[in-house]
Amino acid sequence: MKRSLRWAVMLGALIALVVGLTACGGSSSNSSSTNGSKAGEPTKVDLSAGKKGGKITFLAAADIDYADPGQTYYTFGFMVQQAINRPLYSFKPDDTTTPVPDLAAGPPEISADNKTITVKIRQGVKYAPPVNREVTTADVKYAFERSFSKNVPSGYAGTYFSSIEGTPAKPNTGDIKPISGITTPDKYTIVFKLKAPQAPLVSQALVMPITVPVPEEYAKPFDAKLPSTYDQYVAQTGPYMIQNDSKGKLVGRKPGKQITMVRNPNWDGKATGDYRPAYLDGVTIEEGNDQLEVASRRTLSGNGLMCCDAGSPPAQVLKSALTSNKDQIAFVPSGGTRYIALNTKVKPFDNLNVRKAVVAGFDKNALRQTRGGKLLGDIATGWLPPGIPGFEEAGGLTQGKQYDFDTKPTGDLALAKQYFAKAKAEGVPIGSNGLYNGPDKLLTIATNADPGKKTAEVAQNQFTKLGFKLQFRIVPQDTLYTKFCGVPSQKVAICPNVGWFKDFTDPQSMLDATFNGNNILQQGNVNWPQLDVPAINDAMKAAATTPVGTERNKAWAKINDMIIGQAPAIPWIWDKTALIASKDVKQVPNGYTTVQDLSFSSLK
Amino acid sequence: MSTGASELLQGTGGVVGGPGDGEAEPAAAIAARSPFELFWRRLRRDKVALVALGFIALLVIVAVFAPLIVKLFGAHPPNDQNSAALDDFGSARGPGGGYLMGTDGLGRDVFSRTLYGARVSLEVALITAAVAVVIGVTLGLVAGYFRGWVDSALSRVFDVLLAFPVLLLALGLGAACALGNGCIAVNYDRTGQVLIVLGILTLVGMHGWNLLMTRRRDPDLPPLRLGEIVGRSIPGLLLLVVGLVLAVVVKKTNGALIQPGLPVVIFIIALANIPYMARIIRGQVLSLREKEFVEAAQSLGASNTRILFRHILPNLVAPIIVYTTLLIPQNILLEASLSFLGVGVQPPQASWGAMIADAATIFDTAWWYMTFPGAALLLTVLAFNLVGDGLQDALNPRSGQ
Repeated sequence: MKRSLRWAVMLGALIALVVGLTACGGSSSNSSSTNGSKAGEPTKVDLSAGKKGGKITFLAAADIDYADPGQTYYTFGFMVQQAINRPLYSFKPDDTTTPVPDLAAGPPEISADNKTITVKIRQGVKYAPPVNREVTTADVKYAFERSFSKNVPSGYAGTYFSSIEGTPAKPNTGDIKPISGITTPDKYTIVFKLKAPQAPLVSQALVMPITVPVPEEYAKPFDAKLPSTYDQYVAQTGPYMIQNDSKGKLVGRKPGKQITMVRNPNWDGKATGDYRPAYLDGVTIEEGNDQLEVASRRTLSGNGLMCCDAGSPPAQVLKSALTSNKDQIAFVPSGGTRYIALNTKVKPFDNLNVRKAVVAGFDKNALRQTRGGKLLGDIATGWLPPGIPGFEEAGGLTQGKQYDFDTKPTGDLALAKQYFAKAKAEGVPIGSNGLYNGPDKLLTIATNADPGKKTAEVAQNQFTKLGFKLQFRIVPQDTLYTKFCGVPSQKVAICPNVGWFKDFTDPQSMLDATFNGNNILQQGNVNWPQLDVPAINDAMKAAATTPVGTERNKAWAKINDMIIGQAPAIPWIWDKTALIASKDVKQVPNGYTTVQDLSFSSLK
Repeated sequence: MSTGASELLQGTGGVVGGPGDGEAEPAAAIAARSPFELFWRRLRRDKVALVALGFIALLVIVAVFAPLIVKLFGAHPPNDQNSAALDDFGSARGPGGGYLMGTDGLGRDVFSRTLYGARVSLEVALITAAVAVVIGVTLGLVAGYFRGWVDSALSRVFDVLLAFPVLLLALGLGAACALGNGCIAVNYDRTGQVLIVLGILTLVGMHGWNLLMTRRRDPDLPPLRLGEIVGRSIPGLLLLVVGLVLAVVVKKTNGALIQPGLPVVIFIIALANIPYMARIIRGQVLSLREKEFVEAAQSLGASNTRILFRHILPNLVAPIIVYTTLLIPQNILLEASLSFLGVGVQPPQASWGAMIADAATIFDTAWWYMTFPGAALLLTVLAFNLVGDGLQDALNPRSGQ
């Protein structure tokens, strides 16, 4: 290289740096301003009449998981399902705790022994073309049966409905097989017979898309394939339908590109008692908007848009939106708790006082900031999040206030030391500084993607401050569950990136799988702390049969208290999702799906 | 050397013919210069390379004394998280308010982390370059000198390694080794025991066999000198020491040979570098082994080891130095790339690549977070490249013409 050229390169690099710094300097700002103290609080849902007509485009990063109601399991899929189909029960946007009859004609009738559930459905509900016939309970029965087959892998059928008599332990192979515990005495009645007195839980789970009717004569050829191709030919009963052709093929769904939803000509809300107003003429889901920031900004400045399927807009967009586009943002509780699981089977977390010390010493606020700060979540103090029945009975936002170690959001080192001192008396190695001083490095498995990675780094820092030595490893999120945290034999001491979100709104669904010692599995375990306290297990068994209502909520709230007392994990956030829409869109968030309700949203 | 001397003569000609002459000056002013002096003389004239060298020296000082500098500037330790420094949204804070270069998204001091990032970059770059030089040069020497099946076997291995795109190979290995407990699971206990046995066998073999055979052939041979005894013991002793370390010291260590974090990065980059270095050296050796001085050494009965390390290796110093200085910036970039892609150093250790990756998503609102580590990376790589370029010119003046 010639000398003059090298000088030029060096100078060029320096000039580029200086220019870069100068250019960037202009935008330097670290201030945040949120106008109004209400920012971040769950938005009060406005169900007043909207304008009829017009179309809205929803900006999404990717396609829905499935259009098939027997297979869909993710929020975005539920959002579409809520618009194109009618399950037995569903939630109005403004009430996430009490399901209302949708396809069902009234509330479920539960027998005294909690082993039988009877549901009657509405008459006159018709499928969209090309099926065009009336829905009967045989269709709901078939919907259940197909979801227990290998051809239609359901993410939750076995979890919530395995107590129905005749359900197989493993998905059936070959033809769809009947389930003896589901009977249809007439066209409009369906009866579920249970093996165990689990009716309260099962009746609450009837809001899941598995209860969406599937016409057997139409779906059978598709379901005969492995996997079923019904996903491309879904029969629809809701106010909207994904555009299809004369054979029922969903031509309006182009994976990775868009989903075109039009009005269902056979839907008659008034005649069939559908509570959905369905103001819009149609909705288009535009996919490929995987740059969340770009999609958010486009929505805020555009017309007729809603966003986003991939979570809340980035903090920088929210910050500016809260000052200039406040009316375009809605906050909705996500119905879940994120926590840091402490393995109660691994030393030193097998000691209750060590666990209490850790919970006491942790700065939950620092953890919360990794997910967007207070606007995007309340500090979690227990395991029943807002929007779940039992939340209020458990103490609302101040659950577990009787436990001193669970009351300081920013951590209390002095209190942590007190618990460490108690642990020391029980033989746990505690140093002269009052902090943990054990020799072993505790295996900690964290996710490798933000914001989870940031959360894990904050946790790592705080564990270190409390004296723990960590063998800190980062892995992809699915590996975290399938290879490490969900496999007890791996003896992972700390799982900083776990969380449990509602499938439906019942307190048992939040606590049973995650803290019942009888539910610890060798693979796919979700009782990550491996908490196994007989008193808690027994209390859960008893509460499972308590009828839906205040008593049930109180029973599970009490169990929630018992779990908090065991300090099996550090709960740190009850998420809220920020939803955004264009100025000319009246977006209506649905507390159950935690995204916009397409059947209630409208143009202004 | 003759070229250098003539240059020197031309350069001092003015002085010789200047004022005060007339008296017959003896040729004492004409002094012979050593190759190093000539090299230094040429390098000194390359101001760009000198500035770059100065920058590298500064970088080394910064890396070594990072803790002191952090204290001196009243900055925060690199891994100290301060949630109070973030706003309500958990967003990073810009320069000022006790943070010279602002904070990252966890409230950590970007200034401190940039300084400490230099440590990782230099550590990785220098260690990997050293490993690549030692192994690559040795393999290149062996392949080039012995030729035949040794050369074929080694060259095919190099071909295979070179056939992989470096970053892809690095990503694959990085993903395999950076997750969970690392890769290449080793039973240290057993490996150590095997190495101890091998070491003892080597020691006994090298000495016993030698003594037995040579004495039998010629009982009048003088006894071995101490140096020879030590020299012949080195391979066996090395095996013995490594075996003892594994079997006794490391035996309780859990996990794999290559643990996640810096060891993975170093392993990957060194592995990627070795074939390049070996190829270059092999080519040079193929040419050098045909020179007269090698024939002369062979005719005097010098052993292959002596010829390789005493006669051929010194002639390879220039290409080794030049290529090493070019490897270093490449390795710094590769480390940054791996960390950027998430398979490099493990948190919370600061690395420029990882910092840039973290900053990428918030660049429009936190320019400082990417700019400072980015600038450090840019200047460091540039400096090493310029120094490498200067060294090449200084060691081989004809190459620039």
